[in-house]
Amino acid sequence: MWIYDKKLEFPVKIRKADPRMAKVIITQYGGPDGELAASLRYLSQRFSMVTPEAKATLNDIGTEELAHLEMVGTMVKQLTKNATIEEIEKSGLAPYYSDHDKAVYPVSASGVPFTAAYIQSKGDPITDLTEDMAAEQKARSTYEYLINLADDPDVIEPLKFLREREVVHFQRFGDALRRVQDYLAEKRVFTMPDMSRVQGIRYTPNAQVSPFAQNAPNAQVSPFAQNAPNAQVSPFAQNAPNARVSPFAQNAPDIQTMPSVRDSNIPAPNMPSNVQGVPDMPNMNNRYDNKYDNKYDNKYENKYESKYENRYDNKYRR
Amino acid sequence: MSRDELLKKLTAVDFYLIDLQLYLNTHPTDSEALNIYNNMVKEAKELREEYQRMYGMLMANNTSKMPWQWIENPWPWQYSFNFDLAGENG
Repeated sequence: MWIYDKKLEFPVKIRKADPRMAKVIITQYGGPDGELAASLRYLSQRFSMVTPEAKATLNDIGTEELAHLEMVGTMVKQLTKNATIEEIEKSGLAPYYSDHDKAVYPVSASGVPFTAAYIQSKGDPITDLTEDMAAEQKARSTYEYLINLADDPDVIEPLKFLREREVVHFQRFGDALRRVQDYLAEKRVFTMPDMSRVQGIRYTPNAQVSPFAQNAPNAQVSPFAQNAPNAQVSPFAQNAPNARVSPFAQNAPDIQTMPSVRDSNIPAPNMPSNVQGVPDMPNMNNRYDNKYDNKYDNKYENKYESKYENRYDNKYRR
Repeated sequence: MSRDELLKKLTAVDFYLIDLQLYLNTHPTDSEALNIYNNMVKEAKELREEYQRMYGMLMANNTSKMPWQWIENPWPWQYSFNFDLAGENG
């Protein structure tokens, strides 16, 4: 929930009416890269976000964007308050005035009403955070174009403040993305959709492991694995009915050295750490044939999933 | 302190907190930042209480004099609510 704080995040005190600037600044209220889109994007995406850092980042930046929405609305209001009909006509604000008088309504500078099509909420944390970083850059560019169009310091100062916040948000989303990449990389879990629900596909023990795993075992330990979104495990892994731990988990890099484990107080699971780097393929296949059975599977599930679950749910809980 | 001076100080301190909060979200073990944050929270709380005692409610979860002060003008989007920054940034 939210509680209203009866003040602006940064003061808006515009002495001189300027409907020409109101006509363009409104785009940061209801336009494609505006504050309403930003807030709605982050506050929607947080529901499917992983890691405590990224959840908090979406929640709090989404909240700050509401404060920015209020600042932009305030600018439009003050820029039009004392404008005469003649000034409105001359400035090109007449079409807006026809529909909305001097009220504040979410449209773009070119008059397109706000639409949720401006945003995404994709369920994939890498996809969402990458969109968010792009969104912050688009908003920064927009504020720079608005500053180029403005000539009144009363207007320029709040625009400069808002521009600066986009830069900071971009940094914070970058931090959160890095942390999410670490989190998704460290588990080394392969999952499959629940194939038993797909008609025509028989669910066999072998199908529990991704069919791609055998063909591309190196993908798991590729140095690029952490950065490539496609190599990441779905955030839903823990909830997927048929989720299985990869038999290759043993060959994952030494879990003791992973940043998240190092930083936590929870002792790392007792794992063989003698295999590092890129494993050789024939051995991988043998290992798979010999060792992969349900018992093994359960062992890993209990050991890792519960441990990671607890850590992520409880570590930062106060 | 005048209303505008007090509001300006509170706005500055509250902004400091917003920015630190975002930083701490992705750097939860930075003890220096956490320390600054905790101290700033105290300062912000004192300024907020002083403002509300003298100039009315900032948040509706505060006590009110009679009559109900929450509805008092001006609201933040009104020109007269905001303090002046003119001249400070050239």
